[in-house]
Amino acid sequence: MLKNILLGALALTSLATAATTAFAQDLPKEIRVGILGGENEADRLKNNACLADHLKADFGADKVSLFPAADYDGVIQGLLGGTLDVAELGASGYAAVYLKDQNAVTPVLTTQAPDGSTGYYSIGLALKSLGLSKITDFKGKTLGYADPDSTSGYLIPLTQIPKDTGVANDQFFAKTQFNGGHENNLLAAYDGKVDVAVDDSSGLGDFKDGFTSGTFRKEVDKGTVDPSKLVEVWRSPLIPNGPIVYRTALGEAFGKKLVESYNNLAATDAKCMSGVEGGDFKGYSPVKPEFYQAIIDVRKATIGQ
Amino acid sequence: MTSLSASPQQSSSADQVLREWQRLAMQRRLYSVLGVLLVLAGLVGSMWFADENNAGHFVERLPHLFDFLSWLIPSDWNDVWRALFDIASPQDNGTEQFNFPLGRVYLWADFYLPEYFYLMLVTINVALVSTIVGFIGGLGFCFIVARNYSPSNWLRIPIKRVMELFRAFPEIVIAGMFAAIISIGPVAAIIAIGIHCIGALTKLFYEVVENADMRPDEGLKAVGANWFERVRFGGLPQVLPDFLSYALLRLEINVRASTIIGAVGAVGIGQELKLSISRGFGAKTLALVLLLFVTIFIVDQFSAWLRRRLVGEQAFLKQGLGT
Repeated sequence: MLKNILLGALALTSLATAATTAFAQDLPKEIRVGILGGENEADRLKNNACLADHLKADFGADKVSLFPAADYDGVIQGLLGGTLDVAELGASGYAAVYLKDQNAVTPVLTTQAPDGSTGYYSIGLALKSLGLSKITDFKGKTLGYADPDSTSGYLIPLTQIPKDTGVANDQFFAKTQFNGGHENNLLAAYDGKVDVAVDDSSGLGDFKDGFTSGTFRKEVDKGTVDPSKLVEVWRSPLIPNGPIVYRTALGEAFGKKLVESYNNLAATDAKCMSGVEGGDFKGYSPVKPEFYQAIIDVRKATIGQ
Repeated sequence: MTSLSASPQQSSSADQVLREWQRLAMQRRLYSVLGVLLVLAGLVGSMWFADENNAGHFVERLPHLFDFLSWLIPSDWNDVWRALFDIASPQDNGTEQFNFPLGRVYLWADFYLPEYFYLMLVTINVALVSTIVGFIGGLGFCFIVARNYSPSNWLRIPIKRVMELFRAFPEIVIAGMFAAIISIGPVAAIIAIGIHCIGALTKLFYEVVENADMRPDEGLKAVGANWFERVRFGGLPQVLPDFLSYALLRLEINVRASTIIGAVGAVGIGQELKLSISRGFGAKTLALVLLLFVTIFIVDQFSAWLRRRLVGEQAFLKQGLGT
């Protein structure tokens, strides 16, 4: 009731502006990009600044704003509520949006690793000094998750580690805790605050470089983590790379333009893409919602929403 | 005023004074209006700036104010009780949304503490321990910092500055700092709330001490009491009732602080609340909010009762009579 009155009042006040601005199907003048929480805010803004410049030029927009949410849920709620236009989500984050409203966002692209694969792994990393080499050795130790809406940092370890250990993570480990994003999670294991941390990784290339992409790679590149002190103790089945999505309400023309813009970015500015995506990638490849059906099903079965 | 100035008998000098006064009054009024306008412009400007930097703008998002509440309504209201007491729900399909019995904390045999009660106890414990830390710290520092009792300016001023520093940082910032050192958990939360609490209580305490009656102190000085004896027998008896009042107030504040820190620091009920809100679990969220509400109510009532018992009924009667 109240909502209708308020919406009505708003419609009246915006009539004047509506006469001058065009229809919703035209490209918006302001694009709001949500950036998933995971890495510290300064690094996220720095890495994505060039993306904002590219989008601004390609869309002819007046303004492209970057919103680094404190956690994954900030971006999820922003897309659902209509306060964010574009975001790159993880598969589980996309599933969260999809399960709440199937038509809220449309996935258009995902990243493609140097070998052409469009998937990555959740890997469990632990300090070498613990002297343990596989996940089954960690009974009664502590496990660090990244974010409750992360795929490789929560959903997949939650459902796949028990396949190796035989019991639920809550029972196998003495304690499991969310460390607030992938970067913090890896650092928690590196500093010995938890025994194993599960994070995203391409799983390709050399362990000494932190593999070709993912959180481990980012931290190695930054020099915050010395790979020779770590050991991989667990690896998940292949997880589909997260999608770049736009709010469906913005229309298909917006989606097409977005695909062009990202492909253009991959083709012309490899350095920018590597910063945005956190590692070496071949480019982007188109995706459909069906690509994430398995993750959506897993999320529905374990988390519910 | 106008009738006065219109009066023909008015001497020219009096007339001049009146006009001068009116001019000054007008000027002052103008300055007031200008000042108010300036503040308003600043306020509107800064709000506009804040709004521009938000992804959603205030006016256009206002109609969606209650969207948030729609998911809160559970499909079955009984699930709220089931979530609160960890009783299996008929809707349980193995998902996090309805896995109520999973969180049971078994104490012995079949007797269990429901998960949310356990988490609430952890939260209250954190608040309680940090209030005790704050009380001891405040008690220790306040007499050194109070002007009338301070043994030396060399001690008073540096300690006062340190206390300001303790108060300056919100608990959540200190918690973040300690989380980086000793990992997230109850200890980091206790240190964070405790440090802030020491700073806050020292300030409240020393202000009470500075208002104390100094005649007992003079008497004690006259008979040769040392500093500790003056504090113990001259100051403390006067100020202790107020100290306890403030400490109990602080306990209520600390329960809230501990809940909030829990949301980011994996301690107690805060994180569970944050997670269930972000997941859109109506029944769980309502159960948690209900538990929090009842807990805060009980803490408030308990501290009022305790204060009465400790301070004595006459303190309340005296205030009631307005003396």
